[in-house]
Amino acid sequence: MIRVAICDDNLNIANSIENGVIDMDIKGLSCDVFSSGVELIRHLQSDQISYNIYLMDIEMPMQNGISTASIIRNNDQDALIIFITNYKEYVYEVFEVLPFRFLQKPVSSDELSHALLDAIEHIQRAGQIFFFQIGHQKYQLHYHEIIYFEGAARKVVIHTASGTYETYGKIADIIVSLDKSLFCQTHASYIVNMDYIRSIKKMDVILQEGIPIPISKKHKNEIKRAYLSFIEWRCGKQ
Amino acid sequence: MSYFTTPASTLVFAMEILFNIIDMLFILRLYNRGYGKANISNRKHYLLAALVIVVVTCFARAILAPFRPAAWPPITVLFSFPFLICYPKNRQKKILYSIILLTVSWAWLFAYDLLTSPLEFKNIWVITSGVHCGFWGLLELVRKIDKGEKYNIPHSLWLLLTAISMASMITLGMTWYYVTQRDNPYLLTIELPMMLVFLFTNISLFAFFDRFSTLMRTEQENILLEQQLQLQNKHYEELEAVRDQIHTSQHNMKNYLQTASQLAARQECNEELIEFLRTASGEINKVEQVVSTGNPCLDSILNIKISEFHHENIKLDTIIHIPPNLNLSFEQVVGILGNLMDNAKEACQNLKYEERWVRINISYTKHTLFIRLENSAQEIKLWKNGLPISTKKEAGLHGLGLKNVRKIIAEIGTMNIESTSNSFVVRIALFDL
Repeated sequence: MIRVAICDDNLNIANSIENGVIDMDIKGLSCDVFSSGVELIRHLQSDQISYNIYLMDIEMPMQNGISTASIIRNNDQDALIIFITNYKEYVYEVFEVLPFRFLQKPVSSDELSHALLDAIEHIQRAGQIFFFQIGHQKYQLHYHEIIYFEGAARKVVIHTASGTYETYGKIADIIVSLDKSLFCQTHASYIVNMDYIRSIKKMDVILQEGIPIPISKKHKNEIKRAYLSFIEWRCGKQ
Repeated sequence: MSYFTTPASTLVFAMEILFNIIDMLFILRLYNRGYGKANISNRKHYLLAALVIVVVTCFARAILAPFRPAAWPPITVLFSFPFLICYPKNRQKKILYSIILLTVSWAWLFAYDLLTSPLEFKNIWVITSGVHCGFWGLLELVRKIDKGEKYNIPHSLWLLLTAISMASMITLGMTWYYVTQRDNPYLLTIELPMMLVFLFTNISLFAFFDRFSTLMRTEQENILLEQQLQLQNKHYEELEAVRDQIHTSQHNMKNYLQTASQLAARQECNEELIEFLRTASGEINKVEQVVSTGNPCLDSILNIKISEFHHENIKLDTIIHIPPNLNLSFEQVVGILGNLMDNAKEACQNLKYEERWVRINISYTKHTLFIRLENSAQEIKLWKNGLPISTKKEAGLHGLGLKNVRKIIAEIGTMNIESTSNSFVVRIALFDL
């Protein structure tokens, strides 16, 4: 189930976007329209719900798209925010809320469906599940929770933001089962979630939190190539 | 024909001729690697060399005692020297290599002689094959070491390397003389390890020369790249200054026109003049920046290049979404975007008007700046070290643009270049901005 919120003070535009979303005819996708940031935030807080994708106009009276988005971002790190902007309108603070994409008015149905399909693909990729066992206990983690895998002797340590898990296995077996568009092997004993990469240096990959992960010569070119494709995909192919 | 008393001795002579020809071919193979392609046809080259070496071997057979071998690697090396004139000019390398090669072949022969002479078992076939096979091995080893660098090394360094080789040769000669004059010449003595050391030293000289030559080339290349970058920076600084000036005068002009229209409005019957002045100030408003991202140097280079694209009738499609104040220097932006957009423009200039297009995507996500520049272009077939070989006529400027881009990016990101049948795509990710 993917939930989309459209927020635009111009109801004509909001409706045409909603129609565009409905016309795409995607299964399991629901769509709500809000005419102001205030209304959207009130709805989020009172009903204790959240949306996966926000299509947000930047220029709105009272509470503009950016401050609305920053409230959403504070409560939900995974929300995908797509801004709808006027041509030439350039708002610099917009990057602080980590936007997923930008759409320019007037929004063509092609561009809308392109951005939305990318967002859905992103959610589906990150939402895939990795199963493993510790002793006889079965565990599962969403892909987006996993920062990196580290192999040590016959064990594999799974690092997540909330802690580490240790399971029996081999890095070589795990990489085969993972989605290569999201995970990349950097070393005989490391697999990294590319969503968490901050930079690639000569000898290691630096993660968003500053943790260095070693790169082996064998995987160096491969990881650079994979990360470039990943970033290109994140930025939206032309 | 008193030399060939038995069929065996005739056969041995035939073998010597064959081995000598092969020696010569191996030497020419090494020359091809070291000096580049010979400027006469391969067939002529090899045939002539074979002919020369056959004559030399026959001559040696005629003057030497029958029990002496007529095939000596150093002699073959000596007679390969005249062929050096067939190769591109490179006096420094040719002289040094010739001396080292001569020393190496002689040291090898000497070492082999010292090693095999004390042996009880003496089969002429085995002994002769051994010396030649070993020589081929050495030549192949040198060929492996030599990367075909053609850059001259500093003269003093060259003199030093040549002196080392010359000194080895002289010592070799003296030792040879000493050993043959001795009562029991072929005892396994100190001479053998000495010869091996000479062999090793002289082969190392090839490696030294090659390394130094490579260093010289990279240094020269870096100087060129640096110069190119400085020129570019200057060019853009000047352009920016001009643009600033135009902006200021446009701004002033607009004010003058507005003042003029206000003055005109005070008098009656000036409708036409007022209308004219209004249109004129409107025209000025139209000339403004196309891109404005809050990154001054990036904006100015993009705007300069975009207006150049318009002049060339290039259809342009841009997606630019980046935060302001990115941590990029003027040099980096000029080096990357300036070069890429220049390349795109040049590629488009070779196409018809209706086929010219450029797509630029500059986006930012997760501390990474992503740049994708695609332009219509003919397919590129010639590549070297992952970069296309430039088709530009002016020597010295060959492919400097992309080399510079790669040099700048090496420290801060990664890049990928692709060429399809009708387009050229460069993708770049710059980390941690």
